[in-house]
Amino acid sequence: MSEAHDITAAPPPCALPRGRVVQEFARLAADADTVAGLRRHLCEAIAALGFDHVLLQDASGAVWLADMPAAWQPAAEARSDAVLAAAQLSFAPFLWSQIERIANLSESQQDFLAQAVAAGIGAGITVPIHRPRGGKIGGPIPLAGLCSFLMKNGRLLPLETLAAAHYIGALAFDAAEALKRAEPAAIRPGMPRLTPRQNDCVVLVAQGKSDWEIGRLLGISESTVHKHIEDAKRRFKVSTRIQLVVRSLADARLSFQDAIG
Amino acid sequence: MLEVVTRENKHLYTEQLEQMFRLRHRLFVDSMKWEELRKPDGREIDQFDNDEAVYLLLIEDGEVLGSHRLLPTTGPHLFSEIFPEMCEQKGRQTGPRIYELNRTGTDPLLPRDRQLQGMRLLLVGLLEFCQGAGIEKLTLLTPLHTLYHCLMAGVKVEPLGLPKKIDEERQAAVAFVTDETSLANVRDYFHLQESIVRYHHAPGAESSVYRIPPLAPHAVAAE
Repeated sequence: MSEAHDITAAPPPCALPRGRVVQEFARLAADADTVAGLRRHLCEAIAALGFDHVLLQDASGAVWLADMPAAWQPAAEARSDAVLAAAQLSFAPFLWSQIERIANLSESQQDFLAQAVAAGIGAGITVPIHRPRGGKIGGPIPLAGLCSFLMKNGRLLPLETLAAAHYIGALAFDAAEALKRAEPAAIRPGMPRLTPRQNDCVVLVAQGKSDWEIGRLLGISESTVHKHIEDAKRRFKVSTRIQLVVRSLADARLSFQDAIG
Repeated sequence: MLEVVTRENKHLYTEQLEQMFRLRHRLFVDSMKWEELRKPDGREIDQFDNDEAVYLLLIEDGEVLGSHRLLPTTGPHLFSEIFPEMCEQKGRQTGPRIYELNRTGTDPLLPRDRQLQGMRLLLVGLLEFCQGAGIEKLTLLTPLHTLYHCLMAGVKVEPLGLPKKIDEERQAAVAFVTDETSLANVRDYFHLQESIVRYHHAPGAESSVYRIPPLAPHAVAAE
């Protein structure tokens, strides 16, 4: 249609988050110890919410996790990625029908969207994920990543589950980032690896927190915290908590920034 | 209501067609600045406004608020005569059950919310019309933002070429698959379940469903 009107109806108000799907995914994502495992949990969660495809990217546009049609291809260069361009300009989740209103798209960015449609992608919503970096109070909170929830061409976006998608996108990003941080260990054979949950516990141990405090902070029981830390010690073959923290710092699994909070 | 106007019943709609030509001039020339369409009499009318064209007029209280023009792809249409380069990826799609959609829009003088409501009715009515008429696909040129609104509404879309700049705006050639799913999706999306398309072939006649001819007339003549 060759006119310039906006024909988006106001979407109906989002229902309450699909709590059970979100809770279940939060639990599985925190315990996933491989990207493949996280991807499987993410695919199951988005299918339960009614989405067809999902794409998790970092702030440079690199694809971390994807369940996309075979014909779909990521942008050849980050600057052609129209969705990334819009995510850089938006704190709130946005519909793909709003991308042109958010970002002034270049020709290659428009082509990228047209190619996504040609690959069978229809409606979509993207959750931009912003995380503070560098620990500076009052500093900018930059884009850290983005998670897109997509429909096959000719399928309606499940508008009532958008709020749940917002949670899932952020949870998936944090879990994937924790796995990425653990990656140097994975590529050096013989080095032990920690699950994201074990990693969380070690960070808090480094900050001098007790098992009880860690349990309160992570929303898990004191005995579960104790078990995570004991597992981590076994993986590192160390016998004390101080040795655990020192080994984690030495392997760059834990940054000094993490340790000083 | 969205009224179907064809060569068979256009004598009933002389006044409304006149309103449509003036509306199109306000929209495409005065508002969107397609200067090559400017006419001294303020009626936007071209060589495709002939007996082959099918119009869908959005009429409320006798006033035309918006319109579509559909052209059979078995005869001359915009993709064959004006923009042949736009479908370079998938090729031009033609056939007796494929029509080209162009000159779509609502009156720019209407308040914004009535224009939006008009566009919703035009889209839902268009898909209802195609279902009834036996049209399987519509080919059209569209700016990306409009395309994305249609995708949001659940219309199944096949791109035919990459976007290209026409009159300062990048537009892409696409085909809408006008099947039952597309119609059901847009009805759900816009909460417009009731039938809004009307076809009157005689004054005071009951509304009936318009069917496209099995083959467009000139295709029959060519055989």
